[in-house]
Amino acid sequence: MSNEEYYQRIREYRKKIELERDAARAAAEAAPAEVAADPVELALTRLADPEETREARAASLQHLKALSFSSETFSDWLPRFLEGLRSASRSDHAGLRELAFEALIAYGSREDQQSLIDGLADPEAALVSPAVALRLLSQDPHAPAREVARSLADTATDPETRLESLRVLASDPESVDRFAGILADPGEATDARTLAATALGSLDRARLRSVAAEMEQATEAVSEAREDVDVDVEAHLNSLLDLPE
Amino acid sequence: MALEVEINGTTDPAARYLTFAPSPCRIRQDPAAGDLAVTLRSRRAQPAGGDVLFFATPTSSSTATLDLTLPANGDPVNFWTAGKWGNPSCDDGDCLLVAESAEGETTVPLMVRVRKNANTLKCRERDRFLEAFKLLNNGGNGVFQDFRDMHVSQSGEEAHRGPHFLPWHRSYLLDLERQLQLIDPAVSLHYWRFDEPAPHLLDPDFIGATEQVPEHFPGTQSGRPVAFRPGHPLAGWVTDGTPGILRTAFFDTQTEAAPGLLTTVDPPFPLIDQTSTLALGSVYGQFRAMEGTPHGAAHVSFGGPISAVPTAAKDPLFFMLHSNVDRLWALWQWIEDRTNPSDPSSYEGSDRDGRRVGDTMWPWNNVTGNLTPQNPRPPFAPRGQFGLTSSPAAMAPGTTPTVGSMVDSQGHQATTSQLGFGYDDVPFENPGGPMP
Repeated sequence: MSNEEYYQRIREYRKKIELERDAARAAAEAAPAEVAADPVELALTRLADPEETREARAASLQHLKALSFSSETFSDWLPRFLEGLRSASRSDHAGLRELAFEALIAYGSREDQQSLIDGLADPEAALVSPAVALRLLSQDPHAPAREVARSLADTATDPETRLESLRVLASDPESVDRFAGILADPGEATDARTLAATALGSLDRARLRSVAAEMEQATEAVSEAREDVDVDVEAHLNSLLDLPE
Repeated sequence: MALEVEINGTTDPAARYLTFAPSPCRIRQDPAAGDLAVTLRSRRAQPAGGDVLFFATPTSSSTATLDLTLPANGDPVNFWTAGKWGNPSCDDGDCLLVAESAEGETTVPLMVRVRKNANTLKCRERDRFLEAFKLLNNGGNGVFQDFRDMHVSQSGEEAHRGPHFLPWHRSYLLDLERQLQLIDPAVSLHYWRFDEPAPHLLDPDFIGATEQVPEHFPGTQSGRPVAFRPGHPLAGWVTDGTPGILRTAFFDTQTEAAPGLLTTVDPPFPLIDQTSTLALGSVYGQFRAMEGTPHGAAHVSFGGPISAVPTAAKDPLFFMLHSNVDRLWALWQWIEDRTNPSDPSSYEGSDRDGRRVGDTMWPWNNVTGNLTPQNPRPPFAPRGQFGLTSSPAAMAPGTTPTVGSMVDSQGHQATTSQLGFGYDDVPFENPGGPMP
């Protein structure tokens, strides 16, 4: 390609973008997008209103989340947003409650973390499913959820609930032995073992290496055909063992 | 006889990374009996390697070859080189700068290193990107946690909801990208083109297969763990002590672009496409409305941490989303010629710390605390003691970048301003030099 051809290519590319841009501008001027007079106020009002439909409240919640990225008055309306979320988290609809709790936990509400923990201890008081509650609580390692998570890790019969309880415990230094045991146990489900491996690698990498070495020896001793090896766990472990100390 | 070639001011191989903007170079011979005529040209070291062009001065038009005369006394001769737009590298050293003379040739391996559309990466580009991210995260014990901690509720106003949104995030991405490049210098922070389907990105081999859930009821919509293939580098991702990446999508990630909020919100909050983004306006005060859509709309096309400011940076997809936001800014800057930080059409700030063109930015300025009620700062500054990571491939912006230092990323106003990154679809055009 000659120099002239190279610059011609750039000029043509520029021209294409400019034409498309100009057409879009003309179209936008001819048919301006509909904008609510005060979208924030409208959404805040709807979110907080228990008489509104769940669809309208959920839509308002999502809209406010979207506006939170750019609204220059966000810090002014954040308190009302949190109040509206709290109201929605006590609604009659499970899906709306889950959406609301997700946002409340993201904004670091300790009060609502405690509500989730209370629900785990007392299913009658639960506002979301145990698995969802645990998953949301796992996002904050400072949430006081370890005690209930330890209990559920030992007793939960629902695999998803147990897995999420392990996720909560992934930042718990007292759970190192638990994770070592789960990882080394071929009777455990793959997703539990891989989560255990990740957690162990984060908490105590030397212990992870030690468990991995023991597993390697146990595998070689028991099965030359490697029929008992969970290849997914093995692949995950190999990836973690690449990490530096 | 070997010639000595400096790229980006040094013979250090760590500096041999180019974008489409001119980088300063020098070439010299050892003291000899006479002057030496050399011709510079580019040669691919691999079939799909990069190509470079040459500039006699930073404002001249580029040429495929450049003839120079090297003085007998060994004094260096300046020239500039840049990647040829449309021909970026795929691998480190896949492009050779060749200096030919009557005495033979000297070759210098280079890389034309730019951020690319993640959906179109070659497998080896994808895999080295993922491997670098994995090491940066280091199972939750790596430097990545600092970057997560920069983007939290208490720092929301440092990064959002004002004219500083684009410069702050450009600095944030640059810092993270340079940390990735300390691990693997061939890596760039590739972008998620959110206004197009990205089936090769949102899949088990890349950033995780993401369950589709309805935007509207029924259906739970909070984030769920994404699925990776066994042994994937990000399968051991940990942030805030928690394993896993939680994300659900309100769209079919294999066939659809990110939609924004379409079916539930009245009026809808759609994600606007690239053309509509560029059409927002010809001055910065108009263009920065893109913080709402497409930026905010892209975030809320998902359930999970990426959909909220305080938690979005837990998800590695966040950085690729923002790479595309930054690319749109770079594309707009090129089309509208908006690279002069002194021109309000290029950047118009507001009267608050961290938002004026000459202000330094948190956390890199290590300023914390409520200095005045009008200018509060978070009580912490992750990596503030280090400042923004330096790069051997670029002199700018220094460890405490200003808002304005983020505006001229390609060095149009001064070649020393260029930040050492670029995008595969944003060319460089000289700031007024002759065009053939």
